[in-house]
Amino acid sequence: MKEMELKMNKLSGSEDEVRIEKMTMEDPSFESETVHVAHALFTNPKTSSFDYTAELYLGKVVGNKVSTSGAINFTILAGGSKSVDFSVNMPVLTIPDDAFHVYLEVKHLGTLLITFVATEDVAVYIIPAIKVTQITWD
Amino acid sequence: MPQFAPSSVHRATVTLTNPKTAGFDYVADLCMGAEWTVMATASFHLAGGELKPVDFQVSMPSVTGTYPVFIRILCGGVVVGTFTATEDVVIAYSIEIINFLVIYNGYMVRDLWDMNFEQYSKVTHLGFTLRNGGTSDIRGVSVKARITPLFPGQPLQELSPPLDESLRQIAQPFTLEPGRAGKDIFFDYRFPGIIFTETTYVLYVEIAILGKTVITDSLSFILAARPPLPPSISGIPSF
Repeated sequence: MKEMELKMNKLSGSEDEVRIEKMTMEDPSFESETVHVAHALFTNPKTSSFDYTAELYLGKVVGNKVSTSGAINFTILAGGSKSVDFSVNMPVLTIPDDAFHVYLEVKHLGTLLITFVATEDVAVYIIPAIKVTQITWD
Repeated sequence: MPQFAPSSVHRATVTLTNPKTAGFDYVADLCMGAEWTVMATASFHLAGGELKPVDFQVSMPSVTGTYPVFIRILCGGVVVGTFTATEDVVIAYSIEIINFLVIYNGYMVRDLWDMNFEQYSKVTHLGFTLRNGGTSDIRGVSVKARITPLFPGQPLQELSPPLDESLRQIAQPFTLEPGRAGKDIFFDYRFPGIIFTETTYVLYVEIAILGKTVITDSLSFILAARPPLPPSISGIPSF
């Protein structure tokens, strides 16, 4: 499936320790309970190597982790860049379709450095299905 | 295999499950026959994970035969499932002859298949019982019968008047209701006088529904007579 760029806006924190150069993912309309991968290209603007922990999640508000990639640990050398994959299982829905914000948090040694939010939501839907288990006649 | 009378109305209950976590509105068609003729349609909602029986009032085909049954289900105008029933439906008249009856000298004897009449002097009426084994009325039932010697070369001169060898309608079209008891149909063929020559006769019966023959059956019996029984013997003899 064709990848598309997802623009990320800073929601809180500072870009002094980490920056996101590019975020790509598939067409942001997904079937519920399917797994999809987003790719983020980070850069380390510092003059020394830095350890990061990043988490991408879908939710209605910041901190509302309806579905998450879990924490991904990585290191970027001073002035370097790194592409990190975030695998997310699309949320289980109780309505036929829904939309979620995409958040990305980056931490260093447990301290939140920055939170991004995508400018475009992810749409999640359920493909209807049905099963017939029995036919009886009166 | 379910069997129903043509054009009868029956209820199919289809148990459906929504395997998804969200609820949807569905429209289901119950179809019969290789052409997937839509016999009934139902609209319903299933919540996520819900299992629900859905009823279809089905007016059965008017033509007898064996029909596959299909369920086609749409959601938002899109087909989301088609299913074939494991059992076909048979459209047939569940009508049967359960007894041949003979009334002789005022007595009724049932279950006379393969029975000889060689010791009795006179048979006055013949008949049988029709039973509707289904669950709905069968309309337009008509009955024809004839009696004919099995060996036409045998002498018939004892019979007066001669037997009518053409099919004779013996009952105006009637409605046969379902039930174990059935309906007794009598017809008044009469064998007048004493028959001293043993002759095998065949009773042919045709049952028609709305003019179409659905059952043909026959009974062979020997009709003859011996000299009258002694006065001390009466009642229904055993065979």
